[in-house]
Amino acid sequence: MGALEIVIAVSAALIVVGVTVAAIVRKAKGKGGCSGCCGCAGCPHSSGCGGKPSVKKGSEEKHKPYEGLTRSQEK
Amino acid sequence: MKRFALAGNPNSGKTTLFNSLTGSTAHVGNWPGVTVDKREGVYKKLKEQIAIVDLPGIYSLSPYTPEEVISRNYILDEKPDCVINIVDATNLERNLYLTTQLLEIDVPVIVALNMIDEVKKAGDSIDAEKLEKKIGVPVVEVSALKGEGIDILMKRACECCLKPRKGTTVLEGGALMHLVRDCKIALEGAGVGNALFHAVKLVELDELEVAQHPQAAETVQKFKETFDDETFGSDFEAIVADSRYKYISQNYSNALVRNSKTGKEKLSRSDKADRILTHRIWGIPIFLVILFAVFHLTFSEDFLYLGAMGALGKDWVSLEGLWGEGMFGSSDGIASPGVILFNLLDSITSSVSDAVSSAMTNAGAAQWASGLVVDGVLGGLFSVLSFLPQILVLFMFFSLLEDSGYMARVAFILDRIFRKFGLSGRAFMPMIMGFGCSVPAMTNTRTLADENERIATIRVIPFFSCGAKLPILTAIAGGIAQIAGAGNADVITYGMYVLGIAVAICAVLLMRSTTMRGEVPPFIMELPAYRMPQAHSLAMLLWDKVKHFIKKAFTIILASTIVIWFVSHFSFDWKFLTDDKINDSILAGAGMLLQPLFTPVGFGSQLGEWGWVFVVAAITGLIAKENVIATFGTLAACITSSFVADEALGGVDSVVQMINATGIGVPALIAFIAFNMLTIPCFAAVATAKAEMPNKKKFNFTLLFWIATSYIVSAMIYLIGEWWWTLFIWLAVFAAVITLIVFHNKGKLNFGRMAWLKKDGRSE
Repeated sequence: MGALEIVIAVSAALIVVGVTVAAIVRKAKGKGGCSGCCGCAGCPHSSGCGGKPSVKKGSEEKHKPYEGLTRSQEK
Repeated sequence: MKRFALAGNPNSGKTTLFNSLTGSTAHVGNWPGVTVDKREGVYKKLKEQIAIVDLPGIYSLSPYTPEEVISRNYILDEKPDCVINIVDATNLERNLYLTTQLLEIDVPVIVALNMIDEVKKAGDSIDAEKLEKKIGVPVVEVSALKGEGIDILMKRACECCLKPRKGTTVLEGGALMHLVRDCKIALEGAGVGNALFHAVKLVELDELEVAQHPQAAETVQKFKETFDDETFGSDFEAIVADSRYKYISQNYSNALVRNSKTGKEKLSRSDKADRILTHRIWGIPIFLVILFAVFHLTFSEDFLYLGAMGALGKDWVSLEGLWGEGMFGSSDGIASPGVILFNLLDSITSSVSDAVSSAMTNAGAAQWASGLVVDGVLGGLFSVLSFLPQILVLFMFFSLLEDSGYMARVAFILDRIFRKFGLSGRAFMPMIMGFGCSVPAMTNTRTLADENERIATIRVIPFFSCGAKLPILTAIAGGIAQIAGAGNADVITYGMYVLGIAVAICAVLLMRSTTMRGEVPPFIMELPAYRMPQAHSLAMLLWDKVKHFIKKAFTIILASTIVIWFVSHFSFDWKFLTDDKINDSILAGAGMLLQPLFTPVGFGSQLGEWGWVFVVAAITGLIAKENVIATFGTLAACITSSFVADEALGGVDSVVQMINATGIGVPALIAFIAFNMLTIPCFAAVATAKAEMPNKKKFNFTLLFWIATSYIVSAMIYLIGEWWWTLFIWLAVFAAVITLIVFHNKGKLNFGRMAWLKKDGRSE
């Protein structure tokens, strides 16, 4: 195996491992899987991405979490 | 660091202001409800850096949808140093309703009169100083879009946040004020912050407040029994709302001086446009024609239909023997802008591929190394990348329609139809977002108040083909057009998009009439003014698409092509296989094992030795949908049995290669598109669906729903396409299902063990 083949094989292996590890790290950090948008201001989709609406621990008691009650149901 | 929150009505320009302040490129759109989650950025132009928080739009601080809860909770609990209330100056009275509520909170508030340029353009004027004196907080004229008045706004906001502010209410002097005061005293005694705000909300009998302060709520309830308003009876919420509007009308509205003549003319022009575009009968056909025009401009190889009419005569369009040969079309027709750009990029990628292939041969690279780089990596990557121009052209048109305000009108005209199927027109906006990407579309369903409607919408969003599915549609449609001469690729692509919408409607109808029954909530949506789309906003959107697509291509898709090439060139006993032996590879083995499962849908065992490639492509598409075509690109050059190619092939060429090698028919190819379009979406979309679903059970059912729908629909397409008479069998099955549902809903059928279907119309 020549130098060129070694470079190609190592590069291919690094790409696959790198992408896989990066995906696992992102998942572990709780970020989404849509390659880079989770609430950061620089992302045009930040309005649409991210997890569920965040409710602070303290505020859970103060404000009842949303239960999907609508005006019509209320009446 | 100080924190300023941006609060205001939907579509008042909060995100545009946020972008101007922080230099961000957050997505903006000309319809209410674009922002569904808060986001932060930093304003750096002053000595001290200031964190800016963009909140979802709200009409009042009494929330009904999840994203409205986010805004209310942030302002009340996170205690920002200042609330910048963005007011749409073109719609002053209605926007100031929220202002009157914000003023009741113990937080510094500053009012930004946004879109003041439009007010002036219409010949109207607003006396900001007069308004400031009346409201009692600073009022600054700004134009977020043009960046005017922003520095003054921030300077005054910084001054404003240094002075603590006590809440005030416009209900002072009203019939309910003594009750508000009693509640306030009671709440203050209990140590509740923002007592005035909570007291007013209690008097309104706000559901969150009643749950939070049951004792005070009891007092209000007792008072309610003895109180009766002349107009609203004992509806306290209506009495409070009426008091606010009366106050706004008497005290704030006179700051606006209207040029009545211009105002009437403008309204009439807008009405004229809406009279046509939102027409009861013509509204939907016009929308379908506009949608087709978009697809025609993006995908057609016979733009203007000159080829079909035989108007081109000699084949001068192909520029035979010249640079750019075939790029602009052929005697079959002139290519559309999208196809010209596709051809341009395709020729560039082919040149690169040829150059790399020659360089590797000259360097004496081993066969496997050359195969991995040229066939594997470049073949896979380029087959996907070549569709980038068409994706950009399509999104440019969608963005133009969205920014002009037309899409909001489409939501309005579709409401009547959607309502029959159990959804409101509001659900259309996330669905339209689904054409871009399912991830933000699913999150945008937070604007839907009804949980059942929300779940149903999330489930059908993947049926609206996203940008990642576009290469599948375009490549296979192009392949069909080339091989079978079955019409233009744009008609097939358009047809598949319409099929996705039709399946979504049928699926919603089925869900809403069986497991997810319930009333459709009323649809109230403010129709935004028609606006000229902004070049900067459009450029940012397209630039983001390019970045996103290239990033994805050089990470997930690149890694996938390497893995696909590897497992297609090694056998189970780890021996390297040459191209002609890839049927013995690990990938082929796995594909062949699963092949029988796909026989009913047309790309299973009946395809013979290379049929496994279609199965493998459909499965790799679960990681990222672009992988379907990347898989064809990687493997097509290796398949030399019936079609010779020694270089990386473009997207359409690789599909043509696969069609030739397998002999797959048109019905099976359309079934293949349908399967990929309707089946489980990419990992990111699945993760988002999981996060947005109320529980795991519903999420698991959603996965099952996607698999079942894609399998049934593609089987139907394949079987009817191959054997037309099976249409009657399908019709009979559907008739039986509909009859069962109707009888069950009328209570004439007892499913016995299927009692779970009835369980408050919610559980699966």
